[in-house]
Amino acid sequence: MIDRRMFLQGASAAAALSGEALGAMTGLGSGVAPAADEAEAAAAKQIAMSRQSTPVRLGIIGPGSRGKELVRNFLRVPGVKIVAAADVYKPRFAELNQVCGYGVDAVADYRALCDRKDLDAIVVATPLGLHAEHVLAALRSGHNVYGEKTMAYTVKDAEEIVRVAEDGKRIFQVGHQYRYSPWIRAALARVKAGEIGTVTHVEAYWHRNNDWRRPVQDASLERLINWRLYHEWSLGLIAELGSHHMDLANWVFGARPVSALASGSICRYHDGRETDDNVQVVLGYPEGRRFTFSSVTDNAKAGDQLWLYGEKGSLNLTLQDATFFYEPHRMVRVKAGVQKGVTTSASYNPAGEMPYRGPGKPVEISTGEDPTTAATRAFIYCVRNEVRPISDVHVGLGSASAVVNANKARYEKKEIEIAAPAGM
Amino acid sequence: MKLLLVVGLATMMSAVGGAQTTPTGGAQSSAVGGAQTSTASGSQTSSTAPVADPAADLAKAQGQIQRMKSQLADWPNLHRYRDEDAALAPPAPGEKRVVFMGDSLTDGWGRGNNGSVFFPGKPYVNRGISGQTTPQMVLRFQQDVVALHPAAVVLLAGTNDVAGNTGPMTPAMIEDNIKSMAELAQANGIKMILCSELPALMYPWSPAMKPAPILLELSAWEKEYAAAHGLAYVDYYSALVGPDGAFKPGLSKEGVHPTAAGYAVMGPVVEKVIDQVLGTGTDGGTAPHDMHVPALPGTPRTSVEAPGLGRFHRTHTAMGTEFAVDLYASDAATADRLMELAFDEVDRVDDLLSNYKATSELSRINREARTGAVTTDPETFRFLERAAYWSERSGGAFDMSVGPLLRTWGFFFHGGRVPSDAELSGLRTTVGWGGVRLDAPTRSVSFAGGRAMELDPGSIGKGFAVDSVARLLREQGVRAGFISAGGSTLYAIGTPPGETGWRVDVPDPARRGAVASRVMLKDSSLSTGACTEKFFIKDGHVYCHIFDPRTMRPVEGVLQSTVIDPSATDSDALSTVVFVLGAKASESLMKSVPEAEAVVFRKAEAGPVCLAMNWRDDVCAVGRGRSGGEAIRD
Repeated sequence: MIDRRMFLQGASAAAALSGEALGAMTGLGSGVAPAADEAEAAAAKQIAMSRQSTPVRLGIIGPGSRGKELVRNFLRVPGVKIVAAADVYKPRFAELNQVCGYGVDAVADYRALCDRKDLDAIVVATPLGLHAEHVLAALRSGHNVYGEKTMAYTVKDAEEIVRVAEDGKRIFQVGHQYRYSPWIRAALARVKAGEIGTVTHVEAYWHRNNDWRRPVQDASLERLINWRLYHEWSLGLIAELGSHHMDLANWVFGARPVSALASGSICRYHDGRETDDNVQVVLGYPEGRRFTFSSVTDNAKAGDQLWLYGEKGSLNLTLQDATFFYEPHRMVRVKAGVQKGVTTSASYNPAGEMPYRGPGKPVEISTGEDPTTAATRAFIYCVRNEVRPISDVHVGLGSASAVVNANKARYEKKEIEIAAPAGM
Repeated sequence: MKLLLVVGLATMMSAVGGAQTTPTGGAQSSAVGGAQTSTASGSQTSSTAPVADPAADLAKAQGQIQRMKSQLADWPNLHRYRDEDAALAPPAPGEKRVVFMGDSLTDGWGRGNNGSVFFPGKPYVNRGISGQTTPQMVLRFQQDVVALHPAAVVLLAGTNDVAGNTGPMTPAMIEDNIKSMAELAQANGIKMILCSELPALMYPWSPAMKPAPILLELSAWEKEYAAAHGLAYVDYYSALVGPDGAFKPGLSKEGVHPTAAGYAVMGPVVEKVIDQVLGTGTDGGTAPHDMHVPALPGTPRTSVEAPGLGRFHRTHTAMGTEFAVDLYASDAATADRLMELAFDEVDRVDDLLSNYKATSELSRINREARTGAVTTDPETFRFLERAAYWSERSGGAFDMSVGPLLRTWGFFFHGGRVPSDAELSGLRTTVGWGGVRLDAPTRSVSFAGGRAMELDPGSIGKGFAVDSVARLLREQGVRAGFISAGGSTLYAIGTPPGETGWRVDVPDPARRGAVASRVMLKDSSLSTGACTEKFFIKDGHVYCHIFDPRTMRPVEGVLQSTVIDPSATDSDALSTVVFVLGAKASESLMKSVPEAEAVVFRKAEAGPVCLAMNWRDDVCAVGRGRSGGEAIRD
C-alpha cells in the first residue's frame, strides 16, 4: 500500500520529530537545522486544515466515552464515515449511533471487525490492558490503526506493536494529541531556538478533585465501567493522566528516560479500588535532566499543566495555552570604555526569594484548536496520503516505556534503571 | 416462505380466537407441521389429514383466499376496531384511559374461551389483534390508540415479528417500529408503557424456529430503550418464566399464549406500573405526576419516594455563568458522581460552542468557513441547524451570526460603547444569518461570498447545554432533577417526591419582589430574557445586551420575556425571539408553536405592558391586583 518513496519521506519526518533528532531541542544548537525545518513543515502539513474529502471508512473497537469523543472528532474530517464498531458492553452501540446520527454495524467480537475488508483504518479505544491485543489484531489484519494512549500495558507488548506496524508498513498513530496542539508546537519551537536556555527540568501536574469513578447502574459492571481503578487493565493515574506529560518530556528532552522513581497511595477514596488516588513520579533523563509528575484527586488547584525550566526562563503549558516567563538578567560582559556615571536612587529589590506572581508572556497563535480535532484530522491525512504520523509507534513506545517503568518503580519501591527499549 | 408466513398468521389467530381449530388438511398446514415430508409417496393433495369431501376443501380454500384478500385490502386491519373506536366516548374528565395495544397476547385477554378477565371496572381498552406484527400496529396506532385520547398505552408486541408473520424481520426493524410507536405516543402526550416479550421456546406453527434467545434480546432492548427515554417498562417475562425458559407450568396453553392463570399473573404486574405512571394507585400519597420512569437495571428502588432519597445541590462555573444542578439520589456519592457527569457535559458543550475559546469547534468553524465548507460533527451541526431554524422562523429577530455586532457594540468581554452609524452599516456584509450556508449531506458550514462572519452561541447555546445535561441525567436514571444555567434557562426532570413540579417564580419586572406567575415545571424548560443583568449606561441611556439584528441596535422598552417549552434549546431561542419581535409579530409566531408559552413585559411606551401568549394562567392579571396563578407544566 505504501510505496517506498512515500514511506521514506514519512520516516525521515518522524525521525526528526519523535526520536533521536530532538537532541537539538535541548538548546545545544543555536541555529535550527534545515532538516528540522523540513520536518516541521511536514508536520504542519499533517495538521493543517484540509478539504480533501475522499471517503475514509473507519471501524472502532471500544466506543466508550473516549471512543465516542474520538468519533466526534473524526466526523469533523470531510469524507469520514464510521461503519463498524465492536464492544462487549451493548449500550455503547446505541450511544455511538447517537453520536454519528446513523446506524453503525455492531459486533460483540473485535475479531469480526478486524476481518472486515471494507475499512481504511481501525480506532482502538479500549481499556489499557487490552490495547496490545486489539491493536496487534488490527495491524495483523492489514489495517491502519489509531490507538489510544498508553500504547501498551507492558514494554514487551509495545515493542511488538512497533515491530508489527513497521514490518507490515501500516500507519499507526498513538493518541498523544498534545503533539498536535498548535500552541504547544509553537512554544516548543521557541524553546528549541533557545528562548529559555537549556531545559533541565520538566515539572508536570494533573490535579483533580473527584473520585475518578463512573456511575455504575449494575454492580456486576463495576470492573468493566470503572476499569481504571483495578490493576487487571489499568496502570492508574501514571498511565491515564501521566502518559501525556511523559510524552511531552520525551519530546522536550529529545530522549527517553533512563531511570524511574515513583510512589503513590490511597489517601482519600477507600472504596475498594486497587490503583492509587495520588502518585508522584521522578524520571531521570540523560545528562542528569529530570521530569517530575504529581497527580492528586482531591484538590484541583494546580489543574493540568507543565512547566519547563531553563536557565533563561520558564514555559508553562496547559490544555489551552502556553506562556513564557523569564529569569532575572544575569551577569553579562560589557565593553570597558569611558565612564558615563550613575545617578543614585533609594530603590532596592524587595522580592528576594519570593515566587514571581506577575503575568507571563503568552504565546500568540491564530489557530488554537482542540488537539484531538487536529490529531484525528492528521491521522486521516496520513491514511489518505500514506505518510508516517507525527505521533507514531516510536512516540508511543517512548511514553509506554516511561509509564510502565514508573509503575514498576512504584510497586518495587525503589529507583530503577530503564534499559533502552528494543525498536528504537 | 410466503406460504409459511400466511399459515403462521392463521395459526396465531386461530389459537387465540378459538373460533377455529388447528388447521387440518391442505398443503399449507401440512407443510408447516412437517407432516408433508413424511408422506413422500403421496401426492401433494393427499396428505396425512383425513380426506374431506371436495366441497368442504373448496370452502376452506375460499375462506383462506378471502382472508388473504381482506388482508391485502386492509393490511393493518383498521376495519377490526373502526366502529368500536368511533363509538367510544372521549374520556370523562378525570378518567385516565389506558389502551392495551398488541397482538393475540393482548387480544386473548378477557376474550375467547380461555376464561381470563380483563380489568373489570377499570377504564382500560383492549386493542389487540391476533397475529399482528409491529409494522401493522404502527399503521393503526393513530386510529386505535391516539384517537381514543388515553393517558397511557400498554404496548405488548414483537413475538409475531420474530415468528415472521408478515415476512422476515431483523431486530432493528422491530425496534424501529416500537420506537415509532413510542414517539407517536410521546408526541400526543400519551405515556408509553413498554412490555417485555413473553417466554416462548418454540412456536407450534413453526417448530424449527428457536425464538427464546431473540425474545430475550428484544426484551433487553425494550428495557434499555424505556430507561433511556423515560418510558415505563413492564417485565412480564420474569413473572412468567420457569427455570427451563418456558412458561411456568399452568401459565400457558401451548407455550406461547397465556392461560387464565397466566393472565392472572400478568394483571397485577402491569397494573402496578400503570398506577405508578398515572398516579392512579390506591396506596395513596402518590402525587399525580410522580414516577413515570421505572427502576433501572440493578437498582432495587422502584419509586422516587423510596426512603433514604436525599436532595443534592451543586454549582459550576461555565459558559460565562453559573450552572446549578439539583437532584434526588440515594446517597451523596451517587449524587456526586451524577453531578460530575452533568458538569463534565456542560464543559464538553462549552468546548464545542464557546466563542471565548479558540479551541472550540464553533471557533474553528468561524475561522475556516469563510474560505470554504467546513465539515463538523453531527452534534454541532444539529445545533447550527436549530439556530438557523430560529433565525429563519423569526425573520432574523434571532440571528445566529450576530458575533461582529456584539463586538462592535463592545459587549464581548463585558464592556460597552455606542458605535457610529457608519460602523454599523459596515456590518451589513458580515451580519445576517442568510449568509450562513448549511449543507446537511456533508454536515458542512460555509459563509457566503467568503464573508468574515462570526457565529454566536448566545441565546441558544445555554439551552442546548441544558438539554444535553437533562438527556444525560435521564439516561443515568435520574427521575427528579433540576438544571439551571444562570437562572435564565431552567429544566425540570420529573418532580420532587410528592410534589407536582419544580417551583419556578416568574418575577414581575415592573414591581420589585412581585411574582407574576408561579410555574410548577415538570419535564419541561423555562427561559427568561431580561436586560437587568447585562447592559451598559452611556449619557444616561441604558443599552440592553439583547440586540435587534435587523436594526443592529439594542432592543428598547422591553423589560423581560419568559418562555416555557419542552426543549430548553427552543425556549432559550424563543425567549430572545419574543423579546426582539414586536407584539403583533410575536403573537403570530406563537400561534404556530402551540406547545410553547410566552409572556413579555414592556415599558408602557413600548407596547402592551404585559403580553401573554399561550400562557396557561392569567399571568397578566397580576398587575391588576390579583395574585399570580399556579399551573403545572409538563
